[in-house]
Order: sequence, then C-alpha cells, then structure tokens
Amino acid sequence: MASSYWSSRLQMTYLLLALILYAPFLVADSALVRPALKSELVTQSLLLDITTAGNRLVAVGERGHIIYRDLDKAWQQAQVPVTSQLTSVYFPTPQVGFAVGHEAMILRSEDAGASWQLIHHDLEEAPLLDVYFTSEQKGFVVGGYGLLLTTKDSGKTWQSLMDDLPNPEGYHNNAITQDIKGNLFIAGERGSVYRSTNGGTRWEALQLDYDGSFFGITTTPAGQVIASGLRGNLFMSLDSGDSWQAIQHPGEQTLNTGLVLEDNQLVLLGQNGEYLTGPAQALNLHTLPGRYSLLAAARQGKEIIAVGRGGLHNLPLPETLGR
Amino acid sequence: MNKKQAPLIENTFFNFRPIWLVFFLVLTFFLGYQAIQVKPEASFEKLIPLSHPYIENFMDRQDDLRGLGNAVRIVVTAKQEGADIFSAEYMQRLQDVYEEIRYLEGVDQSAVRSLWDPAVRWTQVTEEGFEGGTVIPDTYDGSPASLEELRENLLKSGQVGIMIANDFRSTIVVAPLLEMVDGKPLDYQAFSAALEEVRNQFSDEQFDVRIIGFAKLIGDLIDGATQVGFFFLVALLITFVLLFLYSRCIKSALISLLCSVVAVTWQLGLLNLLGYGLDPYSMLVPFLVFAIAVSHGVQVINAMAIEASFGHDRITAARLAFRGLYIAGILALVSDAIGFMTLLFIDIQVIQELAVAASLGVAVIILTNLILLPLLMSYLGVSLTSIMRAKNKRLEHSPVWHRLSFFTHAKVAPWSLAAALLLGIFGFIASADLKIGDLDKGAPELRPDSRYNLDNAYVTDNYATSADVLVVMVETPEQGCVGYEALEAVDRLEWQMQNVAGVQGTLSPAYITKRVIAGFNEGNLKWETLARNQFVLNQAMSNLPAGMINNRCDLLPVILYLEDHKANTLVEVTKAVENFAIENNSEHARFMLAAGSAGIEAATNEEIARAQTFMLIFVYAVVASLVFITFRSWRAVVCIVAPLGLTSVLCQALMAQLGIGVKVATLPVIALGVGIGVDYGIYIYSRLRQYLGEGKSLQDAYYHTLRSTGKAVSFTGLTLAIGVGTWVFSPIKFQADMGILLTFMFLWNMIGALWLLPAFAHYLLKDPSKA
Repeated sequence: MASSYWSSRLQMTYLLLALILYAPFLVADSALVRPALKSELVTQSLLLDITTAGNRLVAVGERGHIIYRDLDKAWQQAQVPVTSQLTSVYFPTPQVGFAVGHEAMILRSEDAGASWQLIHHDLEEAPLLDVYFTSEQKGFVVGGYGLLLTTKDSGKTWQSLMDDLPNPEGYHNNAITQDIKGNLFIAGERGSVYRSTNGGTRWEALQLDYDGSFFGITTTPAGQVIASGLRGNLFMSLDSGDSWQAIQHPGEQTLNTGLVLEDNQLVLLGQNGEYLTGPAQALNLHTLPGRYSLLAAARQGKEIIAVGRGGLHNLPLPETLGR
Repeated sequence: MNKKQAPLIENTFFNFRPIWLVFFLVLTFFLGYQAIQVKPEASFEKLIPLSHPYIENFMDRQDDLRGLGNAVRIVVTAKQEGADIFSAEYMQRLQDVYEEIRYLEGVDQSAVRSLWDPAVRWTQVTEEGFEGGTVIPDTYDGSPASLEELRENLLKSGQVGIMIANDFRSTIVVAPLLEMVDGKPLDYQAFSAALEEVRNQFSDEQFDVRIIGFAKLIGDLIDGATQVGFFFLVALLITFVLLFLYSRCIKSALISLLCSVVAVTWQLGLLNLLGYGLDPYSMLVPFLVFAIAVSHGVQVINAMAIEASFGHDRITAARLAFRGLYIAGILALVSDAIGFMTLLFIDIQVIQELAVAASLGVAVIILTNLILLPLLMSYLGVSLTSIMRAKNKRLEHSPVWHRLSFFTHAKVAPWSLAAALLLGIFGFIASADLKIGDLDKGAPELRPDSRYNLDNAYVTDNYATSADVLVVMVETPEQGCVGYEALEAVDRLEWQMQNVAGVQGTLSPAYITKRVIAGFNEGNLKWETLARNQFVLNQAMSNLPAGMINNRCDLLPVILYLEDHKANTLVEVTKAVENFAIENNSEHARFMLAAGSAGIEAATNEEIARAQTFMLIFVYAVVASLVFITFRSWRAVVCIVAPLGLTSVLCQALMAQLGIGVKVATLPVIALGVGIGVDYGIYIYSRLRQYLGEGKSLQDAYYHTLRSTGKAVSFTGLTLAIGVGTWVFSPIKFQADMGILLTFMFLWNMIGALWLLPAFAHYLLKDPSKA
C-alpha cells in the first residue's frame, strides 16, 4: 500500500539523492537533530541490531539508542548525537564501526562504539536498513526504495549505486552481506536477491522461486548463503547463489537475520518470539517467553544476546552445539 | 426573679411559650416531611475541583476523550481450576454480559468494547499485504477449531494485557458512561445496583463477574455510607444512657435528646428544601449536628438543675438557664457555623455542600437547643432527684474539681504551658510526614478487603495496564494532529515519561502510528518510527482506534499508566509533564494536563494543598475575631484559641502517624474540629469571667467554673467522642478516618479547654484576690 505512493515519489528521491551526493558535508540541523536521551530503560527499548566490536557487544535501536557491553561488564549507553531510529550496526575492525538509520543517518565510531559522530544525514531520504563493510575503508549501506550507497574512504564520502542495481520498482533493500568467496549479496522486498561478484560495481538479480520479502541474508564458513523472510520462508544456496532451495522447518513466523555459531550452526531470529537453532537442514523451533519479536543476535563468551522488542534478550546456547 | 431584668430576647420567647411551641411543632412536621425525601447522591463532577486548570482543560475536551473519562470495566473470569476463556461457554457468557451491559441505562452504547465488539480487531502481514479482521471470526460457532482461530487472533490483536488477561482466564468489557441520561445526571446508586444485578445474574460456579470503575465505586460508597444510619441509632442510644447517668433525670435526658434529633431533622429538611442530597461525605453532618446539639443541650439542663437547686420554680429556672447561656451559646454556634463556612473556599462541590449543610445544622441548634429546649423544660421541669443532686453537689466540696482548679496555680501553670509547648513541638515534628491525597492502593475510600478493592487488585494483577491513568492532552491546530512535528513531540514526551519514576507505561496515537507504519512495511520493526512523510502519517493515522483521535483532529491524548496514585507520584509525574510542556510547547503542539483518574486526583490534591493552609488560617481568624468581639479582650482570644492550636497540630501528627492523608474527606474534619472545639473554651471562659467579676480569686473562680460548667464540658466531650467513635466501624474507610479524627479532636479539645485555658488565664487574667 505504501509502496504505490512511494514508487511515484521515486524520481524525486533520485533527484534529491543526486543533489546530496555532490553537496559538501552537511552540518546537522540542530533544531531537528538532538542528542539521544540517556536512560536507564535503554536496554528495554526497541533494539534493532547487535554486533561485535572485538570482544565488545554493540546494539542499536530506537531514539538514537546505542549501547555496548564488554565481557562480564554492565551495559553502557553510548554518546550519540541524534535521536533517529538506528537500524543497523557493523564494525569492520574492533575500533572503527558504523551505525545507520532513518533520515539517512550514518554514524561513525572510532572508539569501539563508546561515542559516535554523525557523518551523513538527510531528513527527506528513505531509511537506511543495513550496513556492511568489507574493510575499514570500503562499505555499503542499503535502504528503503532501492537505496544502495557505498564509500571507499571509511564514510567520508558516499556514492549511490542505485543505477547499478537491477531494481526498477525501487523495492526495499533489507539486508546486505558477503560470503567466504567475497561475493556480495543483497536481499529485499518481494523475493529480491542480488549478487555482486566484483566487489560491488556490477550487480545481478538472482532467481528464487518466491516473491515474498526477505529480511535477512546470512552466510556460513561452509559457503552456505541463506535468505530468510516473511512467514518463515527460508532459502539456501550452496553454490554462491546460482541455485536455491527452500528449507523446511517447524517455524511459522517471519524470520529476520541470522547468527552463525561454530560448526555452521545457525540461530535465526524471528517475529513474535520465534527463533530457530541448529544446522540449516535440521532447525529446531523455540519460543521466547513473552513472545517479543527478535531481529538480530550476537555472541559474547557463552552468551547469545538477541535484540528486538523489549530490548535485550538472553537466548540459551543451542543444545546441538554439545557444549 | 424580676421579669423586667430579663433581656428582650428572653421575654420574646418566654412570654409567649405556647405560640412558640406550636410554631416549632409545625416547623418540625414540615421539615420532617422534607427530611424524609432527602436522597443519597453523588456525582463525579461534585468530587473534583472544577476551576482547577487541569479540570478546566479536561472539561473543555471531555467530548474528545470519551472512553478515557468515566467508564466501568466489567471483567468476566473463568473461575474453575485450569479453565480459560477458550471455551464455548465462556464466550457465550461474555456475549451475554456484553449485550446486557450495552443496554444498561447510562452506558454509552456505541462506545462499549469487548471481544464481541466488531471494532476490536487483529492484524497480520502476509505476502499479499495487510490482513485483518474481527478477533471473533465471522465463522465462529463455538467449535474447537473456531476457538483455536480465536486464540490466534487474540495473539495478533495486541489486546493481551489490555482487554485480555495475561493468563487468558478473563477478559474485560469496557463501558464508557454518559454523564446525563434523559437530561438528568446519571444516578450512580441505581446504576451501581444495575451492575450488581448483572454480577448476580452472570456469576455462578463457573464464571465470576468483577466490576471496577468510578460509577461502581460511588455506588458502593453510597450503599456503605447509608449503613452509617445504623451508627446513628447506636450513637443515639449511647448518648441517651450517658445523658441519663449524667442528669439522673429521665425528662432532661429525653428532652435534650429529642431537641437534638429535631435539630438533625430540621437540618436534613432544609437540605432537601435547598435541593441538596446527602452524599457519602455530607453523611457525617447529621452526626455532627446531633453531637453539637447534645453538647449545648447538656449545658442547658445542667444550668437548669443548678438554678432549680437554688429553689427557683420551673419557669424561672428555665429563664435563668437561658439568660446565663444564650450569649455564650449563640457565640459558640455562630463561630461553629462561620468556621464551617470557611470550607466554601475549597473549590470542590462536595466540600462546599458539606459546609452549607453543617452551617445550617449548627444554626438550627440555636433554635432547637438554646430556645426550644428551655421552653420545653419550663413546662416539664427537672426531676427532684436531679435538683437534690445539684444542691448536694453545690454544697459539698468536690475534691476532683478542687484538684483541677490548681491548673490556675502559679506552680502548675508554667509546667502546663511548658508541657503543651513540648507536645506542640513533638506534634509538629511528627506531622512532617503528613501527606496530601490518598495513600492506599486501589480505592482508598473503601476498606482494602472490600469487594471493590479485591476486584481492582485482580485487574491490576492480571492486566498490564494499571487503573491509575493520567492523560496528557496535546492540542494541535485543527487538522494538525497528523503533523510530524506534533507526533514527534508526543513520541518524545512518551519516552521521557517512561523514564520518570512512577510511570509504568504509556500509550499514545504516536505509538500506535509507529506500529501501523511497521505493519504497512510487512511488520518490519526497522520501520517502526514516525515517518517525516505526511502521506505515510495520514495513511497510518487513518487506522487509529476511536478515542485516540477526534473529529477535528486537534487533540492527541497521551495516556500514562501510573504505578499508584500516591500524592508524591502524582506530583513528580505532573511536574515532569509540565517541564516538558514548557520546553516543547509550540504552534504545532501544546501539552496540557490532565484527564484520567490520576489527572483528576492530581488536580484535587493541588486544590486541597492550596486550600489547606488558607482554610486553617481563615478558620482561626474567624474564631478569634468572634471571641474578640464577644469578650472584647485579646486575653480571651489567647485563652480560648491557643489550646485549639495544639489540638490542630496533634491532629495532623495523628494523621501522619496513622497514614491518613489530607483529602476531600479529612480536610473538612480539620476545620470542623476547630469550630466545635471552640465551644468548650467559650463556655468555660464566660463562666470564669463571670466568677472573677464577682470578685473571687482566680483559683476559686475556676473551681466554681468547673463545678458549674466544667462538668458539662467534660461530659459532652466524652459523649461526643463515643458518638462519633462508632464511625470507626464504618465500611467506608474515609468515614472511619473521619471518626478517628473527630473522636480525637473532641477529646483533646476538651482536655485543652480544662487544662490549658486556666494556665493561660493565670498569666493573662487579673486575679481580683491579688488586686
């Protein structure tokens, strides 16, 4: 419903985007961008992504919330200059990391997530939904309405790659990642999955026998590429995306992103508290008490911390790991 | 006795006794007929400070906030072990209750919500888009399959914890009420009784019906308060026995009791004539009127027995008693009445009506017990035994009174005052904990183990939302409620308030809009934020439930669920909202307090806090000036008023220690206590002055004062205390609180008058023997 309006607006988006990309660095509008409120409730607020920066966990979420935790320490709230919803976080090195969110906010940290600087924003732009860096310098951001940005200078300047992506309808790009062979994958709305075999300059659309949306794409050390999406639809490719097969499992809820543990074991996080654990071919279904929707998870020591509605949730390590 | 010495007022009544008696009789019949028609009543608007800015804001917006205001919640519970709502029987019972409630008189039919209401829906995202429907499937037939479908719909409806209990063993029917039915205010007692019928009709061994909400509370209050009628009989009986023991004269006892009952009758009759009803608060007035009437009656029969013992005949004794008492009596009663009138400064209608009722009541006592009583007694006379007793007592030395007369002594007075000062300091420190407002959980008007409070506790335990709701009204330009700036500010307010201690949770159109936007984006939580795009906001907000958006689109309600309604919580939360408003009010959004039960309570507390000090100062000022005008002496003012001050301080300390807050129910008591307490002092002081004028030494004068009027004072103090002490057993918590406080004040004012007044007199009054 919303997308019908948006596709008509797409041209304007392109125009705006072109303007911004060549505009000098924008100073944040102080009236519209204010620092995130420090709060004791931040660990229970809506958190949308979690990752590791070295041994540190870093999670982002609504209202400019970024929190981090060192092993066996308490969670701390980072200094963040904005209150926009932050949707994704990624650390290419233990110290340098990037967080992205609505209003095209891109934040950069050089101290493992304790403090953040605003390096890009545009109040009129579609939301950014996922961030991935292949090195400290080179990274990609995907977002709504076909958005795809890249940087080669650790975020100083950003270029649009939208013209290179075969996404004429401007479907949302929900997730981006890389497999062990260096192929880049983007998964998004209406069954769209794209691949770049040359580091992100040329993209091709992959054919999957499904037209529901994907919200996550996960790769394992064994070379598996797994796209997860609406109502528990799960597809796996063992040949870097050339061919895909559906994976059967007992879950019914929409699956968001996945976390890879040792032995290629997966934790796939889903809506309404459902999550799957185990090897891709034999996933077990679990339900989180309280049925909070889960979006992502990360591991620190023996703990798996998932984030979603209600903030942080400790998940037990899957039994199949045979600790 | 020479009639020509008699004052005009005395002759006016005593020269035409039969005419006056007939007049009083006719008046009593007329007002008695009126009194029978007095109805118990209570209304929402009378309990709240209508001119407080919070309430004015709320009243302005009442129509836009339907459903957030005055509603009752009917909880239908599956009672048996292991049973839940997923059974055909349960759903049938719920439907029956829902239908029954919808057609109750006073219920806003179109606004009633329940699982059976088509407006209660579920939503879900599928490959095809947004799916939704009524939570009870169209194909519902009570079969296990359709119950399973129902279960899934409920999980998707977002109503768990709101309309559906967390343990799936009960659901709520929410029934917003109309304030007016057919042009008349909603009759809460009848409505509550109708709800009680619903409860009886639909409760059995399988299901339970629990009911909470203001209307039910008021209904329960009226029912409980009318039980106090029984206490009136008990008080009547106790008083009669004590009166008889005191006077040893059945005639005196009966007649003073009768006159006091006449006073109550007149008071109730006048109330009805003026168009007032009797609400749970003003229910205490008849007790007070009765108690005060008895205390003045005792003065009269006491004086008559003494005069008769000097050998005067009935009529002369009655005349002399009247002559000796009428100035002090009228002064005392007028100062009572004016003292009560100070309650008019509190802008809460129940308190104002209580002030009018109590003032009327004490005013009629002037006629019934200062005039009618001696008139009647002038025919009947005091019994011989009682006269003999008075005579013997007068002639024989009284060791008790003699000992008490040492309170005027130079060696006792300083110690008394020092002790009083210490007590005052102690009381002042102990009253530091005195709180404004209600301190208990649930409905503090009722006892914690009352049916209502048990029901309320059940809802608090099994549902996510508390019953203590504060609504911030966010005003936007017309059609501006969908603007990003307004919604963004509302969203920020919500988060800031969630971070305030005492706020359990929040709900607002901004929050719902965010969820709808996520819903439009296939349920992806990464989209769950306010879009700056106006089209997205318009579309999302067209999905808002009624009550969250008004027709003119110029009001956004932000609902704060509070942990409790303690005064501190309310102060902290409202302060936080006000600070937010100062920083964030703009042309897009203005943040205004307050609706919801907690909002109204916050306003009431503020009004009471404002009025409390003001009222105390005023009541003391009135009492002091009346005393000054009568006795033309500032010394009289100190002697009479200073002991009252100690009582007030100690009363506040008592309230703090017993956890009784200053609230609609107890604030009047503080004023009443001063008003009534002054009576003792006035009677004692006027006698003391009289004896001093006769040239007696201070101690001797006080000894004689005690022998004549001190006995009456101590007797009435005890009688009144026992009379109102019966309230401690009232099912209504605040009536019990009032009972405790009044008992304390009656007793302590008596002690103050007998013990401290002479000590002050020692320093302030001239002792003729030393002149």
